[in-house]
Amino acid sequence: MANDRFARVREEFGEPLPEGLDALSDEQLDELATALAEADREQARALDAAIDHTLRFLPWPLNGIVRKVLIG
Amino acid sequence: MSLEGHAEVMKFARLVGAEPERFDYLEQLSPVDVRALRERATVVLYEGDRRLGRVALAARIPPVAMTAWIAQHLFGPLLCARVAGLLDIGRAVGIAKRLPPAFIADLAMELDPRRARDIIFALPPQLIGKVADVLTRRGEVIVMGRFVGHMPDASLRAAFKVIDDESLLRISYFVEEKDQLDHVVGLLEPERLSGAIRSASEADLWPQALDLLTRVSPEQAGWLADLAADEEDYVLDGMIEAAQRDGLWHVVLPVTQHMSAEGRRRFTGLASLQVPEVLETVVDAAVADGLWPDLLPLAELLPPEAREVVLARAPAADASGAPVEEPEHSSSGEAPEPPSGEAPDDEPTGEAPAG
Repeated sequence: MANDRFARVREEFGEPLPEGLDALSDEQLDELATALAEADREQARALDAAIDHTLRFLPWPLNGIVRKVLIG
Repeated sequence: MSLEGHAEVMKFARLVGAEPERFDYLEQLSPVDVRALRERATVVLYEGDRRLGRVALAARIPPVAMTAWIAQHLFGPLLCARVAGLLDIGRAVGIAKRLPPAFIADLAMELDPRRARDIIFALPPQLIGKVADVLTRRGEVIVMGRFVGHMPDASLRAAFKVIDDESLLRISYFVEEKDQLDHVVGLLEPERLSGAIRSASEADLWPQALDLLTRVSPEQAGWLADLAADEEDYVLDGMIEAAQRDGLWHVVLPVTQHMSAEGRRRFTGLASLQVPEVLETVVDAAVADGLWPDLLPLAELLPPEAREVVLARAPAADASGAPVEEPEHSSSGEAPEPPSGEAPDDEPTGEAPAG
């Protein structure tokens, strides 16, 4: 797994990577990394929206303290 | 690609929110490797955002009832799923009890059950049943399959009550904890299993049903095959058609070793099995996969004409160099003895295995 062609997959998925990835082409490895990167971005966007929504609509007595815990 | 591998690709696609077809190229990997990829992706999605720990901390501040309201109306299912495993079990269960089943179903679709196993175990079975009902109506068999290995028996039974027979079979395809499948199948009444077997033919799910047979113990596979043998011809015809169409005789033949004598007689008596083209494919599969010992006891039970087809095909297969034992041809048309020397009637009785 030290080959450079796995660098992007390793960057997205972390390690250890399964040995069987050797069977994939460079294009397929790139597509695999892209798929997880997209999922990660989409999740981050959804979590941003959920946290923003929470801070905006949290009932008053809790708003301050929860905001402090969530965003410091 | 194996059926198990295909199921793994579907689960990976589900995790990253994409269509399975996008990952057709992963089907060249082993199922173990695809699962390892999914587990890496799960770690990234569950542990990559440092805000989740803060959210879990914040969720400890309001009273439980207020937190449940916040979870449903402000956090939403994705955020709840990502922090569920970070919560105290008692608090998480208290929150879950106040949430509507439809919301918990939404949450379950985003949840890695391994990270919330203790919470799932502590949830009331009645609530699990209600959530299973929602997921069944949504057709979420992948989600339910992932949860099967992480629930106590009482919760599984509550879920099984509301899951229809066809969905049960579809769910089995996605169960990950193979070592628990025998136990889980044992929780189902024979009538439910028979219903699932019928659905295999009625909904063209025999590939999934045969996949299940490869993942339970040989004894339980034989018992399930005996249940199938009790069904009408169309059910078994469906299995034969699927095995022939999808090249699954290597799955079917070993299972017959563990069927009762009566079950095997029923199986070999089927007209759809006795079609020469089918028998030739069976013999080819037996030779190719070293399953001649599985086929011989069946050949003995075939009517003479069908047996001749088997015996006529066998030498041709031998000529290909496959490592098989040459069957003894008999001018009287009698079938050769099984290599083990055991008579078919000495095989298991077809009683349900303990479990």
